Amino acid sequence: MGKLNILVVEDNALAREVMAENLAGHAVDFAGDKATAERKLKAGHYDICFIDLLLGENDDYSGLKLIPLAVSKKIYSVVMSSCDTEETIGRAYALGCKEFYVKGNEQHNIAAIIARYLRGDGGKEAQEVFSEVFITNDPATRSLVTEALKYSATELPLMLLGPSGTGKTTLAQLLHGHSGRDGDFVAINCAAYTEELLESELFGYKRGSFTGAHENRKGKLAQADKGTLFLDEIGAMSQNMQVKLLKAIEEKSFYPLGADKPEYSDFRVISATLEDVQKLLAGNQLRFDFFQRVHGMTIALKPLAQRKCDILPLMQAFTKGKKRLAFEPDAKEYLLAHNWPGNTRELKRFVELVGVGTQGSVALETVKRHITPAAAPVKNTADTAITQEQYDYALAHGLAGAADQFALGIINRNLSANNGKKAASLSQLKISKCLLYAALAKARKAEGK
Amino acid sequence: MADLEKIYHNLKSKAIGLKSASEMLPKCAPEKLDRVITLMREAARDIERLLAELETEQKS
Repeated sequence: MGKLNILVVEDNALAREVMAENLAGHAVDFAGDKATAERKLKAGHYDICFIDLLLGENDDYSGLKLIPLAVSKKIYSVVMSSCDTEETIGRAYALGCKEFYVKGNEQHNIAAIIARYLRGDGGKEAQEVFSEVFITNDPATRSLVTEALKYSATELPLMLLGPSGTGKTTLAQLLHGHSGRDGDFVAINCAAYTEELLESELFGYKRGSFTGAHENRKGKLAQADKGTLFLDEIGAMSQNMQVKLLKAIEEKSFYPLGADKPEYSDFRVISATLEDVQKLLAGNQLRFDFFQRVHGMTIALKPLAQRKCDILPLMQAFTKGKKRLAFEPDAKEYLLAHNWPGNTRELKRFVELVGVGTQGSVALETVKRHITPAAAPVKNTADTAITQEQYDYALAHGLAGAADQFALGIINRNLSANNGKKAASLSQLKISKCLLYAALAKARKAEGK
Repeated sequence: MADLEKIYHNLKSKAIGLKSASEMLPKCAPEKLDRVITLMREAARDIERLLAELETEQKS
């Protein structure tokens, strides 16, 4: 994160000290009264301006009068006050402030405001996210992740769904990175432990609490203090453990094994499962009260087979800093037709295998040798040619809409296979320039929406 | 703002300031600590004064 230029308009010297501490690492300037603030706003170039509403004990909301000036200078204006009446908040927003922040809990709140500012900074960060952290060109996945990021700096729990290898852990780490929380990202796979082991892993234990407990050990809940606890495969957790964890999540306190005093931890929960949540609930594998506490916003990630536009960019990413791979046209075609049941995990393994074993361009034979035989490309028959998703799309948008979508999918895939060379696509797909450009324009329009 | 409303607001503001400053104290750099403590004392005195004003205001 780069250094931001920040102006804090605050009459109270103690509050200025608090702000200075919490904004350490940025270039921070202060103004203690309205006149100084006006002068600095006019002369300086600030990214964010924190404005106290009342500047002095007998002041009459002079902070409000600074908002239009800050807005006109395109500064991200944040009003901060202990006066949080609906009327004042309404007035501040009407004047153009971006956020109204009720004073208190500065350490968390200020970090969250900065994170929100950076996310909204012209989409620059979003581009970095999709090209470097959560690599995807799929418009639906991009919009889902963007939506999830809006919730990253809140206390709300998040639940990530999707088959193994679809990027749930990567997304959880990304959300933690954008949460503004100072603590660590602590992950645990609930399916990897027996009930007893899971309890000691989560809650920790005290020395002597059981045979072999030679010293006190912090559990994952304590390790995630002020951070994020990522519970993977929650469906594998026993009912008994769900009850214990539910209590710990609600009270933010828990008893390590063998402890007679509770311990406290301010952790935020992100959970994940590859199973069908409705089935888990119906089969009583997942308690409804526990589910209610952890599901918050739900993000369902698509398997790679449904976002094939990500296959080549992901391969590029996996070979970053290593030997780059180039595929012969028929090899590339085979790769794109493969269903990748192991998703990104399978793709990564494939890239590593191919990278070690080949020199020069990768031939079809090499690709066939390293692709999991059990999941070879499915030959399209009348039944399998249409996916459920395509069928649903046709029902929602009509046959013509679905046909457009289908054509666009083919054009995009072919363009990607030809490294964006339109001439090659025109020849291979035997289409006119007019059709190609019309399809691309439609895609751009759809993305714009 | 009416007088009473102003007192309540200032009280809330000073109290929040004290709370935030006390949360910051453990990680405060030694060279800054004295200044912060002085400011916290001032805020505490302001709270005393505001409470006295509140009592007067309520009696009148």
